[in-house]
Amino acid sequence: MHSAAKQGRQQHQMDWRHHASLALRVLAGIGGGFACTVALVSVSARLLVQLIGLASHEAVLIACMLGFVIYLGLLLWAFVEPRLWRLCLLLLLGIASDLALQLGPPASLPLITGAG
Amino acid sequence: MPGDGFRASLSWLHTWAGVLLGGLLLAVFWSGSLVVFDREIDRWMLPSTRLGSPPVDLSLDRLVVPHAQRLAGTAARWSITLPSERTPVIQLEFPNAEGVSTRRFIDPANGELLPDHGSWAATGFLFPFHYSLHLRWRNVGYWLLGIAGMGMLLLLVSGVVIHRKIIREFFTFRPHKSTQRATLDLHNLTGVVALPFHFLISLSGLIIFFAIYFPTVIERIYPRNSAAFSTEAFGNYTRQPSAEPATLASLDAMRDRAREAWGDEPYMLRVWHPGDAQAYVEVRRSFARQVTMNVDRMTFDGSSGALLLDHRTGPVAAIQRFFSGLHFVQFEHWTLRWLYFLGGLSGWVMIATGLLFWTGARRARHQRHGHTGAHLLDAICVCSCSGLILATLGFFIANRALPADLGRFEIDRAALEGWAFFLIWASTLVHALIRGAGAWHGQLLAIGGAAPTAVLLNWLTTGDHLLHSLQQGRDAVAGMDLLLMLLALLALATARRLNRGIANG
Repeated sequence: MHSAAKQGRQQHQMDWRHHASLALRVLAGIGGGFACTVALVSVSARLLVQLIGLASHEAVLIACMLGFVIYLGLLLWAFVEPRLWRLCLLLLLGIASDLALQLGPPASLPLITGAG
Repeated sequence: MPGDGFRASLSWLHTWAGVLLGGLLLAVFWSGSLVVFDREIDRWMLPSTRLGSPPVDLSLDRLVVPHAQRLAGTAARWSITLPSERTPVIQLEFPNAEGVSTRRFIDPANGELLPDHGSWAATGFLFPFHYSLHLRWRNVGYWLLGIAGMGMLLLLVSGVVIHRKIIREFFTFRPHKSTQRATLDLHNLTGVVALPFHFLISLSGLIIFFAIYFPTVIERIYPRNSAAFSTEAFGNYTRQPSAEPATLASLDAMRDRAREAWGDEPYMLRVWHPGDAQAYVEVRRSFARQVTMNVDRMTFDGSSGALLLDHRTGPVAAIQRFFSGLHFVQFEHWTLRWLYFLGGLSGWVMIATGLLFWTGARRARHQRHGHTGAHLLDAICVCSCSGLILATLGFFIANRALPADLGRFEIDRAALEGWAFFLIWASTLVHALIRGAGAWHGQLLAIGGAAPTAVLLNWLTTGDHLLHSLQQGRDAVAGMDLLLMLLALLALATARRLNRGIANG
């Protein structure tokens, strides 16, 4: 009797944890995935201009069109990646890449001065 | 992972994305299939525009400019869309005194201004419904459509993964097995047969509005000057008015010059700041004979007629405009147009059968446990399938039944047609919430009654019955009448079969 109640409590706790991690995954996939996509699109547009010397408007168009495919990939991956922490970490890294490019003075990067 | 393993997780995703987005996707696919024939529906809804083939050449200066100057008055811009194979009239568009976009039609044969029907018709109502659901506030509609588009891509990819025996399923259709089995077979069949179409139509729909979904990217590359992006990519020219009056140079001369430069026809001319010394005229190149909706445009000075900017579509912009053209179907090709229509409807059937399968599998269990999920989804499914069809028919019937002149009531007739659409749609939802899956039968019968009513009203108000339309070469009107009657037959046959299914238990 006592052990059944304990088991039930454990089951309840498992359920709760399962739901919480699922909610986090959905949020990370849809919201985080979009934020990461926007960041990656920004970064690639900027790199296309600064590394290859592509015209700005062409870089924007190419990056934006690829953005939909990037987001689709991220969304699918978010729902099949077994390790939730890895999903969150990589999405955060993606978002951070844009922030880094924005905050870091671009002229000081040798790659970019080379093509500038 | 939400499921036990890769495929189970995607199956979970497929189910929930489908359940949550199904209603929205049905609305988009239904309206999208209809607006493939938006110009033809326009002829049906705007009877005075049921004209013969337009003349090959016409003078804009003589036929259109006087009307534009009188009607548009001091509007910031007005535009002329030239007649084409599908639209036998000249369209004049301008913002009215309240800034609301207004359209008037002109007979290209004699320059006569056609009466205002007080209807937005398909190009003005069903088309914007398809891409914005008429939710303009903060672009909510566009974002919902973006969610629907991404959701559709996810559903297609996950669907392919979970139905791994896709070839075998494609050749399996058992209409006489259980309803549930037949529903799933139909879902797989329509899903596979038009899979590339469904994927490309969703992706291209998203690519059209890239600037709405990724606004910060443009701002990042063009800080504080997003307009420069439009100029470089799409050749937008702008300048401020001077407040000094001037007369408009010849539009015909500008059109001829553009025609010569392109070896192709212009389809639209837009005059900015008309009557001002800083006025300019934008001439756009036709894309009737290519998929890519090119952005070739020549901009002329409004008073001197001098060329200000000659923009040609660049290679990358052409790719974006190719995807747009793939979605907009503005090229002239009847076979392809019909295939687009069928492809859209097959998507609609795929989504509807997917939803029906989900509720069918859960209805008994949900009722036993007292869950309302299956009941709610039943209602959403009814409302977005038969309900939306009824709303569309209500829109057509209102168009033919409302008197032409509502002057006494101070009501915008066009808005009233729109209200008919939304009120009928809302009432089908209420009906479905009360009756659950039982609402199907009633609403199918209503479609069976409403569609012939629309055909009859068209005959009574315009005299164009089917034989007459065919005789006069009014193919658009005849086609619309025929499809309405086909719809009625399909709805009645389905209702009958549904009844038999219920009787058999």
